[in-house]
Amino acid sequence: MTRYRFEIDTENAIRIWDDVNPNESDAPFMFQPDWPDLTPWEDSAQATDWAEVFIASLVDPESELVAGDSPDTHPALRPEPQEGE
Amino acid sequence: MLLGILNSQAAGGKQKIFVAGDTSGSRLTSPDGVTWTQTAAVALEINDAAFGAELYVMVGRSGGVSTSPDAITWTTRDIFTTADMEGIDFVNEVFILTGNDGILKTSTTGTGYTDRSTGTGSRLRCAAYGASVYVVCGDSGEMYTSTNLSSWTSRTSGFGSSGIFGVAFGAGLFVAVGQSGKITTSPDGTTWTSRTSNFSSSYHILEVAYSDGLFVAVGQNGGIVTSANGSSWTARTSQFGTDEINNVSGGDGLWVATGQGGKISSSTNGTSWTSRTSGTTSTIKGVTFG
Repeated sequence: MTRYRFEIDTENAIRIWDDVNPNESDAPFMFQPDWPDLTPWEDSAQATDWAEVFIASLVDPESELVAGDSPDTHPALRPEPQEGE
Repeated sequence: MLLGILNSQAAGGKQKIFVAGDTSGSRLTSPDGVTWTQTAAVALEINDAAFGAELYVMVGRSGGVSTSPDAITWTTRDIFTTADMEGIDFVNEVFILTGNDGILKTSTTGTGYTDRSTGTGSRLRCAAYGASVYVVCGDSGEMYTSTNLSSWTSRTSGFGSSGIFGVAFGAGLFVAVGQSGKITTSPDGTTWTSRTSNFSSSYHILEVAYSDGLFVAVGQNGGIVTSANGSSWTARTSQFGTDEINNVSGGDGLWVATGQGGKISSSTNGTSWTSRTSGTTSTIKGVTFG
């Protein structure tokens, strides 16, 4: 099972790593400097909560909640599977 | 057909045109995205189209690949598979062909293809090149990068188990789009940032293209969104109503979106779109400009 870790820097930007490519340079697979809708993180606690929900949704693809795009929509219910493509 | 011939052989060299293909095998051309002419029809359910190396290439069901230098006369190519082909992209002077069962093939000519392998057996759908890196994407959020087309590295896309249906590079960023309205961006194909698409999470984004300083992404429920920087996206009115938009292509200041029921819309700025008559009622999944 893929393992994840994350860090919040002094500007509250999130970096998330996994262990998929252990021999590669230590680049994060995810860098989230702000909310997906470009709203700045209010504080490190808000960024931490987003990262934890995001990782939980990767670990469990059937989790009920996923990380939201904005403070007003976080956490969000996982979208129902749609038909097509 | 005469219109296509005249525009393809304009004095001083080939004039660029839009070329589209539908799920019944019909091929359409347009010099401006406004007027469309049916040029040929062969038995190939077309899923995607690309132009490069002076050749139009269309791909589709059951290993179907056909090529044409003028969008009028088409030649079927044997790529030695019966798997469905999902995507064809011409990037960094290379055609990248993606399909079911992890099919990945490349070609510099468009006629003969070299087998590549990422190691996946899942469906691959799309490819892009930028920042000296090739990126291919597909079902279940699978994403791979390569600097040489031979060895591929699995990447965590941020899509989780959601499908990635399109990827493009422009303005220094890769933009990947897919299931449930997701968009992510990356400067290098390795580290990705989630962005708000302004698509409803109830609908998929099926394709993204970059041209003339603009990203245009299209998808289900007639959705079109545009962005100049890949980070901030604005919804546009497509003229598709609730029908699905399957593909989008741009070049020389023109944009064309194609999709369900043979619908086509064109735009000169990506912002305002006008419905056009295609002459077909079959879904148009393949469109390219060149």
